[in-house]
Amino acid sequence: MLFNTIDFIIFFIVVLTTIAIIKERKFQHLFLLFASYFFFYYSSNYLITLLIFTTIWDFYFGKAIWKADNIKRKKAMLITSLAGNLGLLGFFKYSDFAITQINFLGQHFDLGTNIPFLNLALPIGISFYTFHSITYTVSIYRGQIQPAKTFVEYAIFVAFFPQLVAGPILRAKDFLPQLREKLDNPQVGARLRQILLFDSNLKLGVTMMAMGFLKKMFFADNIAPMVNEIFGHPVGLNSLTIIIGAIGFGFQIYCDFSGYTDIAIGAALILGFKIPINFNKPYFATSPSDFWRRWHISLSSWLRDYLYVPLGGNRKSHLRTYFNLFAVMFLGGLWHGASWNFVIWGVLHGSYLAIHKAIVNKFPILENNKFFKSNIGKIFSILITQYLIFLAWIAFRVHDFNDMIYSMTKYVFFDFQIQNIGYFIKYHNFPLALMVLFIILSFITYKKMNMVERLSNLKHVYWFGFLAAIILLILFFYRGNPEDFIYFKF
Amino acid sequence: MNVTLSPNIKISLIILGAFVFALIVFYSVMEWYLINYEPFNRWVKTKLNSEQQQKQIFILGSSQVGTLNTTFINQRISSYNNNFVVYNLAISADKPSTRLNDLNKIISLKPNLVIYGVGYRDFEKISQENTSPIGFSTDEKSKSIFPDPRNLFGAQTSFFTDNEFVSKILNDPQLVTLTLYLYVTGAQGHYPDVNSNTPLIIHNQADNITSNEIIKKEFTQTPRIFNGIDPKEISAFDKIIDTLKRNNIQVAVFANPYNKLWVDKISNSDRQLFNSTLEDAHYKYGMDLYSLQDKYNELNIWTDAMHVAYNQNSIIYSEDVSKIILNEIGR
Repeated sequence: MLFNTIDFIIFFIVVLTTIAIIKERKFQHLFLLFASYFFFYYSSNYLITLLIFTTIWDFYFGKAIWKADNIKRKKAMLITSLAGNLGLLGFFKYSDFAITQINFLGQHFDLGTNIPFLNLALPIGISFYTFHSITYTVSIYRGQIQPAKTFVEYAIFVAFFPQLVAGPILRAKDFLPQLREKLDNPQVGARLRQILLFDSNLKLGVTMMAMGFLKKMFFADNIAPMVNEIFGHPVGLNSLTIIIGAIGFGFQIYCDFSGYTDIAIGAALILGFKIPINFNKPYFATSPSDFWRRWHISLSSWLRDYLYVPLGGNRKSHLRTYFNLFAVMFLGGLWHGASWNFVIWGVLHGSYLAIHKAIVNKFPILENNKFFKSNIGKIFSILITQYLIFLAWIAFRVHDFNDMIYSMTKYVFFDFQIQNIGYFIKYHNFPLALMVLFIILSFITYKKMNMVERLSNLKHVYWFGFLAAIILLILFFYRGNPEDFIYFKF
Repeated sequence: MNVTLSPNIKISLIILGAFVFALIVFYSVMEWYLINYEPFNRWVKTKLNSEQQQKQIFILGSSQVGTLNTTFINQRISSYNNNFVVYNLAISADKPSTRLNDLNKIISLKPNLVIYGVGYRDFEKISQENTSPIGFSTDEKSKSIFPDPRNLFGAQTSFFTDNEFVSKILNDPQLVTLTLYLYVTGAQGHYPDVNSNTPLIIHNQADNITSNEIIKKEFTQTPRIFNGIDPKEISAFDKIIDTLKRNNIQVAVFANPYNKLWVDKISNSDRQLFNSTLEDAHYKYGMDLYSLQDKYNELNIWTDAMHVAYNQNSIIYSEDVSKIILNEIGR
């Protein structure tokens, strides 16, 4: 089920109403699980069996890891569990990609290999729920958490509908306790937490959701047609158009993905659950590593804790650190999709991080340099960083290799051809105006912290105006055939 | 009596109020647009207020019909018979079910002949891809042994689609909003000219022919899944022909041309159903039936896999439709 449909609004109202009516904690949990499975089944149909398989698999392996009496056995259990998870992910997501590469190599070396494609439907959200599940078994293995007390609680953690298909990637140690926390609340007494709808959460959650819908349906969906037109056939376009396309896509993917995340966080908050933020003004990042502390935070921190650190992180030699950064981003790129363009995107980011780290290691004095601490220095750092980030977005967006190389070349080597730009601006005036508006709003939110909280604290009459304005913008600028959320494909 | 509402109820009422307020504003503005600015209604108003000397021929259809060169067709027709004027009333993404909403207004203008160009796309089911991010294709859905819960919503929503507001506003409110902005601010050239012979579609004069290679590349990159023929569209088509005939308006139908790439995507059963629908109407209502379906599918006259380019080098399409019209008025 997509968030930006009437179907979801109806579904969410029904869920809230039912949760409010059911007072018994166990029934609330059962209903939440049923609702989450329905949400998934709604657009995934029979592929829900994979979600259920992953849940059962890791629930029992979690227990087995916990009960194992020696480290060898624990490790064996963990490896089996990971093999199951990653095997499923690999089979459904990467089979045809691997077959393409094998066939290509076979042709290249004249081996006559021609393995037929499996043409499997990509299960929605498989990359996300696989990573959720992995946090559970690994955390038990590391002794950070105990296994979930009941299967229902664990199944809710994996399938909790607000974050099920595109994150943020939850950690078991952060979410599971929320289902069992003791409350000394005068309303409920000192007992295990039942799901209560608090007015403060409701107002803040709805404000977040409204902002998410605005980002997705007003900004992202209306910038997308221009970006699609540019990168549909980029060959022959001039540098300025390609640069506008790259910036447009950067804004589109941010509004699309952070819009989704806002809706997810808002919906979870209304139900009384806290899920982590995923974005923190990424286009104000002053270095590649700063960017990854601000963009898709739940993925970058997952990669750090479950890949980078086990690989040795920065505890070994400098060279090994650079390799680790590169390898993690390479895999991060591949995680996004079974396609070379995502690999190139990951490789670019891996290179940025490794080179940045090498510069910092070589010239530690730069970190405390006066210039980089000044406002002009910050702006300079932001511009350089974002120039690289938007270059990488081209690799993310353009799947055809020749088109990608052409676009990146035009982006890097400016051709000073601006003769058709007047027509381009006239034809795309609306998405361009939205891009300008996005920049202005980004500056305002950069300067004024906690914008969503401020909005949710507005007096009722002003809050009514805020909601009505957002709904009106969405209604008047809704495109009949909107884009899917980009990250649903991963 | 003082009634104190719980904070949750209060907030819920504010949310509901904001929704209702926004919907009322949206509906009022769009209704105002429909009455005063919507191209078809504007054109009908203009036509009703003007004195018509010549007999009128209307060409109906979607953007595939929109790429006909109406100026050329009028020149062709007038060189044989000066009594007729042709209006191309094609509308982008038109379907029989949406055209049915405007049928009474078309009849009120008393055309002598209606030429209706229809193709597979006109009868196609509405895609549910936008509610299925990974895009279960029709084939994948049919593979599943589990029921599709979206059908529940589908059945209900189809009830609301058969009216002018839905088909002309809700299909793309953004386009309507921007068009309305242009009308209100008086900007020129971005909306159809009601005084032209193609009053409902904007022609891009630079609609170039795309090489077959590029069309093939585009088509392979973003393959189009045909969602199958919708019985609702067949019934709407039948109703349109029936109503026109009942009002003594001569009707002829032609099957729109398609590029080979597109035709290859249509299953045999859909092809048979489409052809039999047209043939049934031909026998039932005694109207003439022409097929341009496969006529140009190998020619280099296309702008994409579905549209013949609006271009001097693609004039063969307009020439063939002129012949159809001449054949009909000579009867």
